[in-house]
Amino acid sequence: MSAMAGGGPELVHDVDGIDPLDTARFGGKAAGLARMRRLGLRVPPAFVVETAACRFYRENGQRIPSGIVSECHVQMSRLESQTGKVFGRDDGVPLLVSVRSGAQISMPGMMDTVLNLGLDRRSVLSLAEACADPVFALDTWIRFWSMFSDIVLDVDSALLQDQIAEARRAAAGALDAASAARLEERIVAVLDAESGPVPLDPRDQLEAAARAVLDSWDSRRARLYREHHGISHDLGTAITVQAMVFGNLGRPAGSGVAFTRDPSTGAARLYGEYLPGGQGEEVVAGTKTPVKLEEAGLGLAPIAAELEAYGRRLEEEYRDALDIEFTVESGVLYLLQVRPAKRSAAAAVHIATAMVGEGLIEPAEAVRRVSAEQVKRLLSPEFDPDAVATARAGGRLLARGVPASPGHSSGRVALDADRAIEQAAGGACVILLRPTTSPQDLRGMLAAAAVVTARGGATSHAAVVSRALDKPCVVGCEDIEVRPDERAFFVDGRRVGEGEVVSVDGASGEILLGELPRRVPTRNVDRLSQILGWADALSQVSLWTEATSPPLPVDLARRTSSAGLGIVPLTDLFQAAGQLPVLLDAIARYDADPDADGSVIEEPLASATAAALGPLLAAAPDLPVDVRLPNLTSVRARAWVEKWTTLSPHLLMPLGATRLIDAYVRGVRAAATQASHQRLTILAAGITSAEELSEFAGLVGPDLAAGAVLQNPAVVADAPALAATGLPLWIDLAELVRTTLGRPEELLYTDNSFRLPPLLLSLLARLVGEGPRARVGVRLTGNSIASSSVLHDLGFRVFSSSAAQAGELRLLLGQHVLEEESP
Amino acid sequence: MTEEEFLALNSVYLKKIATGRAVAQATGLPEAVVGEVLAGAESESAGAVVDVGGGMLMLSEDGVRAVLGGYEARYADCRVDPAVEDWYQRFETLNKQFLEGVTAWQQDVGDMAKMDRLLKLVERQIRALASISERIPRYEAYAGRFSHAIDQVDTGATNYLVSPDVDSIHNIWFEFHEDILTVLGRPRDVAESAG
Repeated sequence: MSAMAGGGPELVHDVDGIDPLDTARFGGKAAGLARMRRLGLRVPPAFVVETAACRFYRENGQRIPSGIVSECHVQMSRLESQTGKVFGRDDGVPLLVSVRSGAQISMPGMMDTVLNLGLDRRSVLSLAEACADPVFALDTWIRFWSMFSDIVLDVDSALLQDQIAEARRAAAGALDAASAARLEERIVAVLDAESGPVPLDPRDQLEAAARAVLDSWDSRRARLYREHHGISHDLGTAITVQAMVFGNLGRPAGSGVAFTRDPSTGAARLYGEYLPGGQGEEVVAGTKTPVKLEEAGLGLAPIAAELEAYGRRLEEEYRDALDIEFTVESGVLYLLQVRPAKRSAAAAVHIATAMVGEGLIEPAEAVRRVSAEQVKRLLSPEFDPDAVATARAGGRLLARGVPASPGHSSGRVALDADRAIEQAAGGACVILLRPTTSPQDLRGMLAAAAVVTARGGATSHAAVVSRALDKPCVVGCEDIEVRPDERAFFVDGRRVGEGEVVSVDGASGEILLGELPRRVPTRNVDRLSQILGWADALSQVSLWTEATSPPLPVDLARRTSSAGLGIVPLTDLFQAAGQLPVLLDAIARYDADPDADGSVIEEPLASATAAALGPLLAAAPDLPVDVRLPNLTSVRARAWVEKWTTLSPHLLMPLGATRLIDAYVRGVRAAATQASHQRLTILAAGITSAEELSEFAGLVGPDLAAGAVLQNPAVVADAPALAATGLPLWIDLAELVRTTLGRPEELLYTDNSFRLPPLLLSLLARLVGEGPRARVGVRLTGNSIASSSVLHDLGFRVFSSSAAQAGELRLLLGQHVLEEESP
Repeated sequence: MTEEEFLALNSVYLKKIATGRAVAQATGLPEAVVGEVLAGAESESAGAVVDVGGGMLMLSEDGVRAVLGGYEARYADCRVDPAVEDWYQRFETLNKQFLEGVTAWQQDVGDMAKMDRLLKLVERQIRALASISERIPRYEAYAGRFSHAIDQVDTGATNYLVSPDVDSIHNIWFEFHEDILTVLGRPRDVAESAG
């Protein structure tokens, strides 16, 4: 190491001369630049201080060796001659550079980029003259000081901007030696007071920026990150210094961002924006109106054509859709940065499937390119556009606010958290409507399907928390006046009472009166099916679709190539068909008199069962259907069955209510016969042993298939005997977790640290280890899909989920297999 | 009101609704002490705290009055101190950037640069808190909570940025904002509609 202090191997390199694959030595950023320059792309020249310098700095008490400083000077001279500009002097067009940190792996807490380094009160005048644009020169200089202040000196740049506003205005009015000097004095005075002496010479500023990069390697956050991920502190960061080009110098000049594919639809065409004579950051910030690249006029055509050619070459190299930041200086196109383009969910799916078609990527890679979040977004139900148009035309548009969190929901208005919870507990969808929200309203927000506030903007509590909860939210509906005393809100004199139904469009910001039908949008469905099919091929999973509440998900199950409908709880079908009172009545009568006549127990219950199940079987004559019988020990039964605590104990025993089971089976048989359904299985719930399962199969009879839903550790522990029955089994994961740990699933997956307990894992491993003697599936609900990969590792290949979560789950399992293959 | 009573009741005031455990975590007081203090405040004679079910506590109107009186007694001098006012103005500047940063990140979850920039603002807030902890020593607890949340985010638990159901950065920030406004005796209203 001591050799590096002087006379040793060079530690500072022209980016053109480095090995783009050696990211450990040169960091990811410099390697990326080297790769682009090797492709023959025009990228402004740059040099890199390799990671060994960082190790030296750390081992020698934060000292930058003089050898490195002089090597940097040599490299700066090279940049000067390559660009024809001068650094830190005022006898020519000033050379400005960017300074970036760059480790092999990007990590939190590292220094951000400092841009525009190289200006002082003299060279800013040279820049103004060269560009014939004093405003641009001044903006460039202030931008440098803001970044230097924030990033190197750790002084809030908003504070700096505030305190130099007057001097800046004076300089903007007439930029000359005197006004520039006064502005610089003011900047230095503010920063000196905040952070101590501030370097004014660009060479010293460069060294300070380099030092900030090296210090950021040992920031608390970067160290914690490395320790957490087992990355050595000795790896070190490189420093990349790159010449900057100006979109204001010479003619033509300008800058912009180009996408190789349309980032909103994914269509393969050059897309982007160009700001003639402007700076790239301004395009990003949207402060000036740029020209659309795809509508390039004659003057822009050669640039667009050149970008298109670069784009094709880059896509072949990177095998992804890219976003290209570029600048044109004196008619020459430079590429500043190339990275995978951000894209909408629809574009992600479009691009991934199109690239497979073009032979650029393999199907497995396409599965990687789409996120579960994007799949969820594409499959989330939206208001029927025709219904929205009709509602608007019919004068049902109540208010328009600031769209704060996307999604569509209808529900009953609740004006406070208590009322929201109360209504939601009764099974209603609730829209929480408040003047503003605070943590006090959180319980109500959790219970609500959507949140609306009369005041506040996109950064308000309601907006931030709704986004965190992934619920539709509209804020700042200023026309809405909430009157809690009257239990109503008013819009232009129109009264809408608490409990009335409204519809909230979190994307458009509209609040409409009345309920609007929702449906899963069909656009993108074909391409999405392709991706999910590839994911299935990887995971070898067959996924069943739950049917817990109307509308019946039969169409959706078909479209998502579901293996079957299951688990279908008979109780839910009763509820949906309005037959719940029949069930409760039969239970009460049976409890009161075990010998009551069949005409008051079996007959009504069997016909209610047939009526509740009939529509589902008729809609899905070709799909396997697994129906679960009601379980009197469930949490719901306790809430619904009157006098549950005094029910005769034998009714609560597994298979204890034999007459009820007999009635359900009769009803199911009748419905199956009526619909000519051949692929139906009746599942017992709450059993505790394999023996009970065999007994249940006997009760069901030889003409119908029987199986069980396993809900407690006792029955799962009976694995060998269960498997020996050869009957289909489902694990109800949420219920099994609850019966094992004594806590409901909602309380377990609140952060990503929850893991299934070892006892459960070993029981499940034994069950699935019994081999394929029978079908064993796992029912996943809500957040428990987070455990799907662990279960897949154990060997489970059959799962069930709600229709809404099916797409997400299929993708996650496919991606999980890919992760296992290449860690 | 003892200091412990003030700390515990104030935490319920800032959180609006909280469990004893959350109060203990936020104040750094032992859970047993918090339990005792809040049980005392809940007793019929005191009536400052109301159990709304499930171990969730809220302040009664009397409780709110008691907390505001506690602020009055402790921070009357801060309200006329230009140094504290200056500190607060700087916080507001940072607050605006923070809320915009949160929103920008939420609209582009997965953008590591936006997340990193946001966390750097929180680190700045931690340093700012150190500079005022001499005047208001209990502000050190906020710094500790912010650091803990940053560590969680940096090691993969990004729900510690804005999730309402953990001691997330947005939760802590919201509480702190309420706190400094109450120290200065300002209404929340204006700040609330802005953020």
